[in-house]
Amino acid sequence: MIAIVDYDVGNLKNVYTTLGDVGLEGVITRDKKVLDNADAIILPGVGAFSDAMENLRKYDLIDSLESNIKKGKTLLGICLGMQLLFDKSYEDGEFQGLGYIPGEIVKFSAPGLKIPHMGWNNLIINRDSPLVHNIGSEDYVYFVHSYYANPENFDDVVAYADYSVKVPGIVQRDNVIGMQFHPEKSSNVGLQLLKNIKEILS
Amino acid sequence: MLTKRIIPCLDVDNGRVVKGKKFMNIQDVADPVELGRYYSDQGADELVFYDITATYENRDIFIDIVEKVAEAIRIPFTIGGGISKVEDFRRVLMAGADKVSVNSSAVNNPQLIRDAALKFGAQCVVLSIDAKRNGHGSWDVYVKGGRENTFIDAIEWAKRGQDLGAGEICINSIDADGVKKGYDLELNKLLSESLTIPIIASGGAGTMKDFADVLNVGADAALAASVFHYKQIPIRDLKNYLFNQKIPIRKI
Repeated sequence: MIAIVDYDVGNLKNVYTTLGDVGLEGVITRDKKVLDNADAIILPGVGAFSDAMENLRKYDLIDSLESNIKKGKTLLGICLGMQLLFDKSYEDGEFQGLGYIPGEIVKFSAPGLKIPHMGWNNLIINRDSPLVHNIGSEDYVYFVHSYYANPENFDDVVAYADYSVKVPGIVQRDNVIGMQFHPEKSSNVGLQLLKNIKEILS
Repeated sequence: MLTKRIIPCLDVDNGRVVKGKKFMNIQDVADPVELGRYYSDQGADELVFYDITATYENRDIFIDIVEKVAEAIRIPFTIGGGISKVEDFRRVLMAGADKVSVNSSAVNNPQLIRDAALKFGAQCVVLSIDAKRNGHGSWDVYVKGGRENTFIDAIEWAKRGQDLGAGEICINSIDADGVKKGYDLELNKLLSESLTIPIIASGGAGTMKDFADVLNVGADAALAASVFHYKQIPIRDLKNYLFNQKIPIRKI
């Protein structure tokens, strides 16, 4: 069972439905006991970084995430959920994140660049990982974001997309994984990526 | 590389798709879910479902459709039509839509853009603008389905929408709409140069070259309805054509 963390950051049903496509059972929850019993935890999210962190605090979920990660449980952050995994974000201020992966969340700033980075972009593999099994450079995923992760160690990046800078698309540090794009909205490529997660869990 | 998007638009009335009777491979061409799935399989990058149901009572039917589409389709989709309050945003987003498009209601109440962007994020707020040339070298914003001129400058309104927090602008040319002689290239070029958010061009698609032309002047996405519904342009062929024209496109 995969716990999808419910902390008031938009619709989580699409993530839940797509897990079902690859034969994973999701549970939308903010119950710590469910998080503790889950095989993996997904941290989804759209919206503002500071609001999302505030909600994690409000529902008292940060310690629970931390203890589960220490036990070696897989945590997958999606979109804003991925950004929360880093040390801090400069979205409308300066805010502390969960700090599982060293690095910062910064805004796109190249001249003439359309922001948000919105639409289908291809993944370029940075390092080999079971996460990108059967994924090649002609595979496109759906991004929509105005801030991107700038990791301290680019080795934490499994795959990136090119949009004025190398935009981390999939990050991984041990059992903590993040996807900046929406696998649940990325058609067959998204399904392949979730199948890869399933393989890792099995 | 970020690709340009091809977006079919489906008009839905009382839970059924209006237009489009020439599909061979699907059972029920009027079922929004079936048609949406068909387009998704053909390589559509996003879908737009536009609720043209006139009565308030039938809104629930539409919400039900949004939920069914979200269950069946794994590409992003936008909902438009009848959205006038933050609560309307919440309903369709919770039903599974990725973005919400506003038009006349935002002209009447620009604060709606800001309120929705703050509450749900700029990425889900699409400002849709119906624009018509005015004879003075610029474009006026029209509301009420293109029937009423507001005398607001379309470029200025788009810029204001961006400042209020819209994540994207869908620009529909009233002059070009339904004529199938191409998108309004001048309008799309000017808008693309004036804004930092992505633009969806709408109105006027007749040939595959029309898509290439508007994407080449700076539009980030091209929306069309009838050329897709009547199978004049299969999406798969269009994407191959655009790819051969060296336009970045997601091939499937």
